[in-house]
Amino acid sequence: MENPSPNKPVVSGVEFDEASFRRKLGSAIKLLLIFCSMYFFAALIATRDLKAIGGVEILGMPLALYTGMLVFVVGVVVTRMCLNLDRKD
Amino acid sequence: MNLENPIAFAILVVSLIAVVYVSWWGKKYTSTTSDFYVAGGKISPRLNGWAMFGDYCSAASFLGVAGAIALAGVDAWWVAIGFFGAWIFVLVALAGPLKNSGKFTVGDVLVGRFGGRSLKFLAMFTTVVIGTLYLVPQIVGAGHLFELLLGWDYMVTVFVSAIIMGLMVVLGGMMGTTYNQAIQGVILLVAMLLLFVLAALLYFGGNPLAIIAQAMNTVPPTEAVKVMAQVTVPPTPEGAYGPFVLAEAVRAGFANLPHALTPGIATPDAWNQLSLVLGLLLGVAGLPHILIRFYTVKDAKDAKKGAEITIAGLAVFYIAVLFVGFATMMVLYPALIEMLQAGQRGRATNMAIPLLGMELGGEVVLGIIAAGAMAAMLSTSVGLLISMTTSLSHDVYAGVLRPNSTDRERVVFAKLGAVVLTLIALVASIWLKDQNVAILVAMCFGIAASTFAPVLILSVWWKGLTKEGVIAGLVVGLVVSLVFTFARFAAVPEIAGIRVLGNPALYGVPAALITIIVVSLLTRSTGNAREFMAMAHRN
Repeated sequence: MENPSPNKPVVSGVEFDEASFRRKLGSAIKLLLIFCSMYFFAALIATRDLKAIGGVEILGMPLALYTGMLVFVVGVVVTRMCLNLDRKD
Repeated sequence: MNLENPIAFAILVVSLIAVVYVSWWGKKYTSTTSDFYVAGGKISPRLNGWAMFGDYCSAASFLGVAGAIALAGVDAWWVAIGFFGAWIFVLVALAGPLKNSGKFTVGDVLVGRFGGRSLKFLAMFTTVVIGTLYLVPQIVGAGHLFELLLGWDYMVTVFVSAIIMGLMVVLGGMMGTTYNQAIQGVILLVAMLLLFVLAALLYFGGNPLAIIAQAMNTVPPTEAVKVMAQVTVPPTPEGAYGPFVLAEAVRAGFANLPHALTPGIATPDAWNQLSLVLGLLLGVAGLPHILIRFYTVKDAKDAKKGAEITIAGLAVFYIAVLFVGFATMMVLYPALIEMLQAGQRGRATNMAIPLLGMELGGEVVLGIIAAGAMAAMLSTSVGLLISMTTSLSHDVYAGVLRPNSTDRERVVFAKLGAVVLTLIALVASIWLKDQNVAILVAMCFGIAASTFAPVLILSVWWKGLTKEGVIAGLVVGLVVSLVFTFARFAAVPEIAGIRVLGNPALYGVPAALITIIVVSLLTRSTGNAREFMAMAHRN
């Protein structure tokens, strides 16, 4: 399955499974959407333009701190989901 | 830290000797090009996970982020969150297909699908540009750091650092480098957790939440320094004041000033922040020294398992960084204010963590912190050198110049490449001595995000991608990101009516993506798309 020549395209001999590929693509997009929405939301409310949102206090601490922490939690959860999907495949 | 601190100096020297010994030990496992480039693909996922952690955590992560939090508060934490987020993107979108479709380098993936020497050469060129640009701030940072820590001249520390990193590559190849990076990763994490635990025990009654509570009552030094002339500090019997006394005096006098957890004080506006976090998110997917580590394991599943260990380690490390940053702010409050008043912001950022180590545990902890800082710099630099020399040797020497060369000749060429690239980076580090390290690093992330990242992701996920699209996208992404980066260096406010931002990614990434997609739709050479996809996504 290795590339026979360093300058030529691969000849893998593996059959392309369109359904499996689409399933993996769909899963990757979903996982990235989950993570990226949390990531960009947390990043933007921490800016000086949107600090009114990030500064809202919940249980005595600003929302931006919770969302920053949540990025790590969501990241670890998405990582596990990604590896679990691999196991199913 | 000079001979006035002999214990700390001894710890640093012992750690350096250990590093060189591990490299020398790794030599016996390096007989073929595959051994030199990727340790024959025999690294276990756990070892690779720790090695990736050590490879990724540079001095910027270890010293810079915590130091910046100590000065400016929670806003400085955003860079760490971006550094973490990038790994989720790499894991989900790239790790598995990259391992399945390549052998040694990023160029393998592109050639594996499209063939042709031009792509391999272009991939090598981009690898060397990104790698060299990333190597320079590591050496510059190390030079400044050890100039401050050891009191040695910048030129001496730069030469010593460069010689050690070159020696590590020439001696050991990927096996020795992997073990060194893994050991260094453990040292980095242990050092950060040690600071966290000691600070909590000695200053906050053993309660980590007390660090947060105190931070909410503390004005960040960058804000406090603006009003210091009006602050009245209550007299103390010893004639000096403790760390909390000054912080409490500032807060008592200025109740309306922000606290260390107030967001939006040090972060830029929304567009600049968007560009920064986009560059950080996609940057790792284009950093060759990280991507090459996925080739050191057996298969795609092991590549992902290794990434999971790295992600878990980074999550713990960067959360600890937040607490250590706040603790540093409060414990060293008077010293930080003093350095800011003296106009030494850079020194305050870099020295905050070593100073905290000295404060918490004397010379022994200072020595561990210095060893950690050295580990951070060396592991990243050596990873960069290995990825660049592999690309030079495998993509250019074996792929273009001498396809019939022997294994031994290729390894010798790679080692010569390591020496030459170290010398180039050394000269550039002397030339760029006064450049801001953070800007150089951010520039590399922006360039990587605008070049390799979109090309690699589309290569493994889009059957309609064409060779012309790849070449056009790489060139456009490289040019746009470099133009906006240098415009920022030259303090040019806008180009053709477009505002220059702190990071080039917001322009470079869309420019590369649009170019790749449009050119691919207009051309037909999709390469061996189905066979390549079958291999890249095989279970």
